[in-house]
Amino acid sequence: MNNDLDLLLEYLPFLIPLIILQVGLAIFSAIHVIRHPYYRFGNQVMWLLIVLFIQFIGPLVYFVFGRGDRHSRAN
Amino acid sequence: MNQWFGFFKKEWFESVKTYKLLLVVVIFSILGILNPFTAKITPVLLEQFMPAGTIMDLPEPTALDSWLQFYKNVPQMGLVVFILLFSTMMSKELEKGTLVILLTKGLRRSTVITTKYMMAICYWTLAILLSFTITYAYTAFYWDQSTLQHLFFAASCLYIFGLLLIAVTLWGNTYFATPYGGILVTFIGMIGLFITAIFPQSKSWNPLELATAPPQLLTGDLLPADVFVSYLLTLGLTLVFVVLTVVHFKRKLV
Amino acid sequence: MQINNVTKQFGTHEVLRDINLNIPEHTVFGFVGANGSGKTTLMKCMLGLLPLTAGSISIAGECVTFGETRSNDYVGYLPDVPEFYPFFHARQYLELCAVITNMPKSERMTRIDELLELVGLVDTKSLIGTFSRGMKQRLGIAQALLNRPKLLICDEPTSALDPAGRAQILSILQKAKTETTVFFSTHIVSDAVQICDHVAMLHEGTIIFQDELINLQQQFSGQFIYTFTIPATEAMEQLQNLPFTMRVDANTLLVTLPDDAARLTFMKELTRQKLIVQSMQPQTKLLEQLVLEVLG
Repeated sequence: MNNDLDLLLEYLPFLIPLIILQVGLAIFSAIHVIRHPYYRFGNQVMWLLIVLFIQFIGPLVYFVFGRGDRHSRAN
Repeated sequence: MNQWFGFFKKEWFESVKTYKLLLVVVIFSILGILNPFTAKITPVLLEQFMPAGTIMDLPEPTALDSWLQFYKNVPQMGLVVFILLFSTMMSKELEKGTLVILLTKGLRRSTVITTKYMMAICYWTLAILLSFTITYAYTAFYWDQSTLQHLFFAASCLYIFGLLLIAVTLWGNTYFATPYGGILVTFIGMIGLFITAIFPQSKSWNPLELATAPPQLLTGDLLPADVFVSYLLTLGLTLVFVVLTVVHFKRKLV
Repeated sequence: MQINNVTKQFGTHEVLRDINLNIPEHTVFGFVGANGSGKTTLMKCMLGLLPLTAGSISIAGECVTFGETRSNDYVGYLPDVPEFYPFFHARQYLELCAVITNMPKSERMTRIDELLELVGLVDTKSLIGTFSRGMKQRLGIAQALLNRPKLLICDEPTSALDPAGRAQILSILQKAKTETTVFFSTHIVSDAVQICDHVAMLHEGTIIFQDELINLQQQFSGQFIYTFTIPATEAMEQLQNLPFTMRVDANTLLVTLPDDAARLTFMKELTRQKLIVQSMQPQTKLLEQLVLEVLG
């Protein structure tokens, strides 16, 4: 077990920024999905799942293709 | 010139407001960290998953492994992500008709294309710089990379190759005026390059070389002179595609 | 502003046939026609957004060419559905337009303030993405007037708006008349009647009439609309013996009185019969009737 902990410690310089970036992006996107409930297609639950569980491609697809603005919904 | 910078400022503002800056910074930082991380952890993981008792003679990872990851991840993952991000540059404006008013106000059509391309170049530069610097820093910290050849030239190959793909995407996106037009054209173009690469003779000039040669450049198996023709051809093709886009857009109904 | 023998075909389909128009300066020129009659097409031709099949258009002496055209320096354009960048504020958008038209820096601020005032968007702090149709339409007019154009082209500026929004737009257009010539298309005839000096009508790709509105209204058949304190049918019975054509329409009495003598005679008869007039007006819906006749 001690071995595993050592291993973890050794990789911390990688893991810390990776986790901050990935989780940060996922959370930021999730908040955006909830606060702007306008989508070009799909629904909130779908986008939340995509954004939270598909690492960085999920948020990308959401921001580039899924995010709609209020205006396009009205038309 | 005023007009050019005015519209360029709008492009910048738009890219920030549509989270492109955020996505490029985050994704290419992640990629930059992933390269040395994968290189370092792969042998350890392999060891763990091997049945107990198997005697493995895994070599210690080196700086080269880290850069091999870079030249695997950035062209595959990074470039795809980047093309996706910038695949709607023109179609978004053409579909919504946001350019109509500005064009009747005297906005030059060439300005529209060149500012958009320039903006994409800026972002691509940022993306490559970010992941290159991060990978470089980690690699320098863990390994000795003094044995590697042409480190910066190899990166510039990938950079130039990206410029060509962005130009092709912009052309497809303008020509077909749909979000998928650019992606499709680029995809077909890539397939074309891969098919050409089947013939060994094409090795001396195929632009695809720029994406596949860097590992050999690093080890010294290839010299910059070997990809010289590809390098120039790629730059030339990039220019051709940008000009084609401008020419097409000049006569396009908006 | 002149349009000479303009023809426009999409494939084999002829959308505009041999159009001739002359728009005098400082007038409000109403361009009436049903949906799909080719109004938008003609406007896009005037802006160099569509190539002409035949003929020529010149604005302020400059010939309009397809693609980039010098004539656009003199034109302001409001499309039927103006589209803006949703991430801008109204002021930011106008600043972008000002840069594009190469307006000197010193002028920009005052001109933008002036226009935001004119269209009533001074106090709007929200992003364009949240604007209503009416607000977008007003911002559209502001951007169109930005570079003090000689000709303001508005494509159906009122058709998608509620009555309040329409009234606002019409009054803005009327104010704009002091600075520029307004050329606007509409399928709502009453809008045209309200603010136009000149009217032209486009039907199936050709101009079927073109004249000053006053002339058109003066040609009217001499009909007057009366309402009385008693129901119109009763009044008509009492006036049976008069030699004028009369008919009842929605409790009003329509009487044709071709000349002054007839009008006097009619008034005398009213007094004699002790009919009290509640209201009286000349029949001015002529343009609408004309349009209906054509379209019917």
